[in-house]
Amino acid sequence: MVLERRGAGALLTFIIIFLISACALLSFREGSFDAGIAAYGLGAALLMLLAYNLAALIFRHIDRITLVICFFLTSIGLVMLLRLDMELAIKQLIWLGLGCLILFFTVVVIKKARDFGRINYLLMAASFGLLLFAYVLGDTIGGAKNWVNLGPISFQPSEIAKVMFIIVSAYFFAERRGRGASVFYAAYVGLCVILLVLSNDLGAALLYCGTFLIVFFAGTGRTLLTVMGLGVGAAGAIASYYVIPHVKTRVEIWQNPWIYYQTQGYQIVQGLMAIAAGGAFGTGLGLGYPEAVPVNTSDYIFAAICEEFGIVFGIITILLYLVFIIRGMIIARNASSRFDALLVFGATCMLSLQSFIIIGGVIKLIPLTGITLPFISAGGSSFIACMCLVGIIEGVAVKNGERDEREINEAGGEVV
Amino acid sequence: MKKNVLRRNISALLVVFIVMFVGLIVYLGYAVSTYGERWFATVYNPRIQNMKTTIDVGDILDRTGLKLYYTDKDGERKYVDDEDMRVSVAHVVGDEYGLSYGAQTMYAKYLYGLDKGTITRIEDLLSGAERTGSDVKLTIDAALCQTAMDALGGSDGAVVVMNYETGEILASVSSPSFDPTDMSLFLDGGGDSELVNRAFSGLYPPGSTFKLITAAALIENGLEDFETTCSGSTVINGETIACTGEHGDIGLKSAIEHSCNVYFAEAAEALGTHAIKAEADAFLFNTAFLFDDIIMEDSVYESANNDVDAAWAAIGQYHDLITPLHACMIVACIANDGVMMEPKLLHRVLDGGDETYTLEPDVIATPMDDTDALKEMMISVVESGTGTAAQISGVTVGGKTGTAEIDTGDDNETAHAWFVGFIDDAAHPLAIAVIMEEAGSGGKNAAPAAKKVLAKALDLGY
Ligand SMILES: [Zn+2]
Repeated sequence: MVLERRGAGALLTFIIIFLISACALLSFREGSFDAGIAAYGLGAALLMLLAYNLAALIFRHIDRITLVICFFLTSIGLVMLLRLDMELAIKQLIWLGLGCLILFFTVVVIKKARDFGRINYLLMAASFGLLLFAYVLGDTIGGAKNWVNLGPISFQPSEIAKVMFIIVSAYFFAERRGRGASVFYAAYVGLCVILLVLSNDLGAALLYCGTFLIVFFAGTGRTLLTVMGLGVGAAGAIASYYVIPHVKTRVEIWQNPWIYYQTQGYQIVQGLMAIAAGGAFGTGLGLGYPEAVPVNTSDYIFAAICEEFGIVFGIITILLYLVFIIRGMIIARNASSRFDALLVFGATCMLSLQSFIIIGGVIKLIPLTGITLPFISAGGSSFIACMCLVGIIEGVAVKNGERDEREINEAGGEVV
Repeated sequence: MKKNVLRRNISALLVVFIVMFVGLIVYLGYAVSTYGERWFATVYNPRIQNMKTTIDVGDILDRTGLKLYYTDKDGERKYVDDEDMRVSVAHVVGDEYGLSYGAQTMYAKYLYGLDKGTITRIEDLLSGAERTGSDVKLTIDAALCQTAMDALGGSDGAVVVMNYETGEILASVSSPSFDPTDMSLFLDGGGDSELVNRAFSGLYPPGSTFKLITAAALIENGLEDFETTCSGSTVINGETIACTGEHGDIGLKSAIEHSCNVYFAEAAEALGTHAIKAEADAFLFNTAFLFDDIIMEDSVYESANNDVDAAWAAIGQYHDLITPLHACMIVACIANDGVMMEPKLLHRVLDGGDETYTLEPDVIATPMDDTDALKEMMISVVESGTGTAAQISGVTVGGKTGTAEIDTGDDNETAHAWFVGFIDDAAHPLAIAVIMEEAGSGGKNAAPAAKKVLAKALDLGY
């Protein structure tokens, strides 16, 4: 406990140094000193410091390591955005402030809730409605129809629906729900995925599918059915390769992006060049040319990070996600109820799968399916969804901590 | 449905995730270290175009120190003055627009100083010093390249000369070529295949030069004593394979000397399809070439499915395809006692006075332990066989001619002329490959060209 606290504190100090020094470097980029950029770094550092201490004060049992890692990843994103697009960086800082509030709110809700009972059906309807909404009224950006514009507000429904999907899934696997409910739930998952595929949002479709299968396996322990599910998923993927031209192109580009350089292979090739340009330790912040990479503030931000910070830093980023996953799984294992365990497990899996899908796509390990890099990519919907999921994880962590404290007190011990 | 089952499953999936993420890390490291340079050094990379305006780009020199592409004292970028020389080395040096794949693109890392560490670059940035690139010294000798281009005599084709002990490429030319000082035709999307470097990326049927591989397979499989009778043609599975003459009773040595098709077609039957495929693979056919200095097309030898195809393959007329550089590597390997060296094009990198990179020879394959018999056969090809036109007084030359028939589509059968050879002398370890497109007989046309180039190389002291 004490060790964890010290570790988290040290990491937070490191993040603040990282933020301030990176912004100091960027503020001299145009030759003369830009006070605005320096102030940005200071502001971001203060916001994180405040959020961390406030969280620790209100929720004594919050998992500090998880929180700090999510701040670390966020600050990598802020620095990269500040270097690429000032306006987006400022927006993202505002999202960070809002995200922290939402995180706190989610922690409170999760702490209070035993399970969501009938509300689940409402969440199902809402999430399905959101996806349907995107399919019918959405705007196509980057090949996928996953943006909705409502006057001044535009958002990605599939990001918001993610959180609901996790809660609904945890609810259905927490207890035996009977045949009718199971069929109903299965139909819900199937329809969500179909809607996403129809909207061409393949990254999200893959994410929903994968998360469902993983939660199904953990929740039911039915290995055979899971393998069959994987089989069906694979068959579906192979079928879509032949049926949906979009999917086929993606796979062909993946196999050899260079021959499609002028057309659909362009962003993969540009991404690979950016990664290669950085070498082990990067060109240095502001000294590379990640401007050449399309969507470098969103799906492709990992390539920009590798270019300017280097492969070693890229690997550190991947390790940060890994530590995040390990913490999440530990919290899930410690949970008192099956519902809580599945909630945390689902949230952790969704975030890790999402990171894997996009990093793997950018480095050409797997075919590219566009999706944001959690915490790092610019974008309000995606960032808020991530903070909600962290809120879920932290809420259960707080519950666990309070339970442990109670047990120790009942045994007459002291908290160390 | 018990809770500890759930816990066990969570742990199991944690392990799966750890494996996946470690996989990401391993793949990222592997891919960047293996393909990174290739990803970066492409004609599409806007970084290379973009940096030209802000960096004092390094010069490109030949091995003698002659400046092929450089910044003059007025700060202008210039190519070597002599037009014939400029055109001869054009594919190796490349153009400033990155339309061809030369040193300007391939070695951008050095020329733009990207090999220098981040700290040096940040220091430069803060001190306001202009970023400077390093000079790149190539292994080619521009004068020898000029002779090689001349030797092609206007034919389309390519010449590669290598030092077979070190793998250094002393000359590499590709015809037709282009003048990098006037790229307007290509910038407008015009031109034919002038920008293609045939030496590294031109895939040609190897023709009779492939008989060296078949001969190696015979030797490696203990069939070097295989004999047959050539009556001018042979019938395999109902298909007739014609020979260049009537060679009578014939063994391996004179079959190479006279390039007897009947002998090798029948030898292929005796060897079986797998033995030749195995030998071709040992000499790096069907291999993805990943060299540090050069981007090179992969040569192809398809496994034949029946005896007829195997017979055609054994004389280099099936689906076999090879680049001139690979042909040169194979003959260099035979000359170098069965040790194949990696072809090298980057000799030195000079950062001001410091040498930051120095060529080191690398062995890439050792397909044979003993090549003496093969060398002897090749020497007799030049002494008294099909390649007598490649004789040079004072040195022993070994070689193999090839006349690779190609179907041009309008029933007009014509042939590419090949000569691959070497000088059998440790003081002059030179290997050469010459291909002249649609020039007819290899012995009559390619062999004299090879002689001219090798004689010039000897004159220059290589
Ligand atoms: Zn014959």
